[in-house]
Formats: sequence, structure tokens, C-alpha cells
Amino acid sequence: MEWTYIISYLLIELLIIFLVGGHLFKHGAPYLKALFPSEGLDKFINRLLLTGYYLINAGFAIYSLVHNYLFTNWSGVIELLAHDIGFLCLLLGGIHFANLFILFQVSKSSITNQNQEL
Amino acid sequence: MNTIVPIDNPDFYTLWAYAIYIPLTLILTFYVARKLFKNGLVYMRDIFSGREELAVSTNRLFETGFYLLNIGFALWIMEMRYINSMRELMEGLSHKVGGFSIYLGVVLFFNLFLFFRGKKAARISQELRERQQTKMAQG
Repeated sequence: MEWTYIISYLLIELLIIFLVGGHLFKHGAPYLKALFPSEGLDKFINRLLLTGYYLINAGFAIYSLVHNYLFTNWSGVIELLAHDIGFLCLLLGGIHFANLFILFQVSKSSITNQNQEL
Repeated sequence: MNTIVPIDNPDFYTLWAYAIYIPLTLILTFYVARKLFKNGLVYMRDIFSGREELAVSTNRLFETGFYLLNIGFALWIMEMRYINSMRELMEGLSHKVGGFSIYLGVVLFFNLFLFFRGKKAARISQELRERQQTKMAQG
């Protein structure tokens, strides 16, 4: 049961982090383009942000794998797995909304200025 | 003799509870998110005043955050222990699903609040711009 827990934990958490990271990378690109209109800078910053995201979240997922939990039945495995994955999702969502908030605050002046030019 | 045979395995009811709870909350989340963000795109188009790319990607980003928060919370509170009968299963399940629905409603209204605030900010900046343009035209 321990090995089932460890393997499914790592697989699911890293898969979630990877998929969400790709999604944010793809849909965050127009923002950075509006924020940094100069050539190539937006792609560079986007890739840096993605690397930082992977490092922080994959690091957290692997770091928090350690439990001194004695598995006696399958419902315990499912409970602990769901608890950990749920916490990771909440954390990702929290970081994501905080990032969006900062991005809005930063891009407010830039986007409204561009609107005025249009 | 029509007696109910008690089930020895203590895992039995708990596993059934999880097998019902997880698909139910996932379906609920997907349904609410689809309804919210299909209609949210109209607001986003209004807020970003015709910049289609930014509107669509903002909508997608909000959708991702909504899914993460709701599925995360649903899995986080899932733990149900000491379920030994059908009645306790129904009680525990209704408690959890009801609590999750309340949370979903709160997050939904939070998202709506963000939409309305964005629309208000867009309207104010639009009015400011129009006033500036009329000033420029006059003087």
C-alpha cells in the first residue's frame, strides 16, 4: 500500500503541475505581450516564469511526500491521496489568483495606455 | 428469512461513499464552470473593449483558477471515517456534498463580483477617455 500511495502521489501531482503549467504558459502569453511590447522580451519572461513555477511546485510536491502514516486499509490510502492532491490544487489556485492580481495591477497602466492609442 | 446480512469489511461503506462523492463533485464543478465561463466571455469582451485575444485568455485563466480551487477543496475535505451502515453513508455524503455546494456558491459569487468590478472599472476608464477627447476637441 505504501508503494501504491507513493507512486500514484508522484504521478498525479506532477501530471497536474505539468498540465496546469502548460495551460498558464499558453494563455498568459497575450498578457505579457501587452505588457512588454518589445521584441522577444515577453517570450523570455514567460519561459522564466514557467521555470520558476515548475521549480516551486514540483519541489513542494516532492518535499511534502513524507508522511509517518501507517496504512491499514485502502480507504486510508484514498483519503490521504485525496487530501494531499486537494491541498496541492488549492495551493496552485491560490498562487494563480495572486499572480493574476499582481499582473492586473502591473498591467493596468500599460493596457489602458494602449487602449488610448487605439 | 429476510434478514439483512451485516457486512464485516469496515472499508465497504467508506469506499462506496468515496466512489459516489468524487464523480458527483467533479460533475458539479464542471457544470457550474461551463455555465459561468460561457457567459463570462461576454463580460470579458466588454472589459477589454474589443481586444479579443486578451478577453479569451483572461477567461481561460479564470476558468483554470476556478477548477483548481473547487476540485482542490472537494478533495481536501473528502475524508469520511467510521461509516458502518447505509444510514451513516447517506448522512455523511449529504453533509459533505451540501458543504461543497455552499463553497461552490461562494466561489461563484466571488467570480461574479470580480466580473462586475472589472466591468465597472472599464466603464469608468471609458468615460474618462471620452471626456478627455471632448476636451481635446474643444480646446
